[in-house]
Amino acid sequence: MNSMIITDAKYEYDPSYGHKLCIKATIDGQEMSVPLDPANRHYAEILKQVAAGTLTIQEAT
Amino acid sequence: MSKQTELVGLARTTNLDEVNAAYSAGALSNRNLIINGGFDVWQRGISFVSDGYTADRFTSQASATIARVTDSPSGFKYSAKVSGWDGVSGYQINQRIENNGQFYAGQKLTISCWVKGDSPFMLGNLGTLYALGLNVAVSSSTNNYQVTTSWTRYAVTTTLADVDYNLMTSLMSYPVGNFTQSTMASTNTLYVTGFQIEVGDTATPFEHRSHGQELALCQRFYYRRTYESYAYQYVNNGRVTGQYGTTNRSLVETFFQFPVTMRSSSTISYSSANSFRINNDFADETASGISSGISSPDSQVVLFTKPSTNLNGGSMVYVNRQNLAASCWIAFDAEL
Repeated sequence: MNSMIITDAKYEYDPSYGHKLCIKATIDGQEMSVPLDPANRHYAEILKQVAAGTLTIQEAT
Repeated sequence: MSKQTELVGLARTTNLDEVNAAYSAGALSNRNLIINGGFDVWQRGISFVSDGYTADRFTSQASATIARVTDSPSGFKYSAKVSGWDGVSGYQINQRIENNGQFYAGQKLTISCWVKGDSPFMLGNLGTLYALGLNVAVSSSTNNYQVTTSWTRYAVTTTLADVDYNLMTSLMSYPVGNFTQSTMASTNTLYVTGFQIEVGDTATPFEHRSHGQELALCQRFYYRRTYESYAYQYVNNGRVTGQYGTTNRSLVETFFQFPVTMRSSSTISYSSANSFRINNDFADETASGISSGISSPDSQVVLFTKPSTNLNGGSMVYVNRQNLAASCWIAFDAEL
């Protein structure tokens, strides 16, 4: 499968406890919430693109 | 030998013969390593033009149109119809098989599928297997085959190459692909179903599992909740997040229990936030956002946000399908 087109990646935090919960991003045109699990294919691809310098994950505003 | 012992021996022989005959006829279960090989489960929809996952567990590439159709060989309800690939990059349908330690070097696997075309052309490479994670081809033999306008079953046996399968994340397999020696044109149409990979050197008849079994196998990787077209369908209940009602009074936590344990924590996608409606204390409001809460392979917290901050902390809330929403669904993706 071709690599995913990922834009608007942003961390989301647990509203009660404040720790990072997931990354919200638009992946291949679809808004998604991605868990911070290396076994998850979307998270693995995000890590790959961040390592390659082609994607930056924004902090929540 | 007493007559009784003789009769028991005869009965055992007969039973073994029956078991062998049943095996030869393909009656033994759970031998197909492919999930949804008969293209019966399509949780995401039944027609696609974009690349990526289409029928459950299968991906399609090269901007082809792939759709569920009832043109199928005897014994099958559906096939996948493929047309209009871009003619530039190689076309393929593939399935990634989860690696649970079941593969080893020297293992014989037999790969089979039913295919037909709108005209005769060559396809390949049935039998190609690719080890993701290692990123190497691991099949010893592949098969280019002549597609005809009649449904035909093709099969090839291959031997897995000598690599460390513990390092493989998944095994990629292809029922159809226009790799080497293909003469498939971008204007050609093909149909495929009955994809099977089994241990051994013999192609046994396709293993038909019940729809419930096949759906459950698919839901380990993808689970989609679709809410039907009538108004205000109940989606889930939850509670207002926050401490003593002083914070996050626009946020609702809902809990989704999966029907089967998923492969990993899942990515959430959904129709659109405004296709959901939040109801609490007789005040209805359209959801303005959806995001993932705590996730595990067994369950998932989904957070719905609404524009105003007038919810009471800790109180029960209902999430419904928005009236007149064109579609309303939420999906959990743990695909490979």
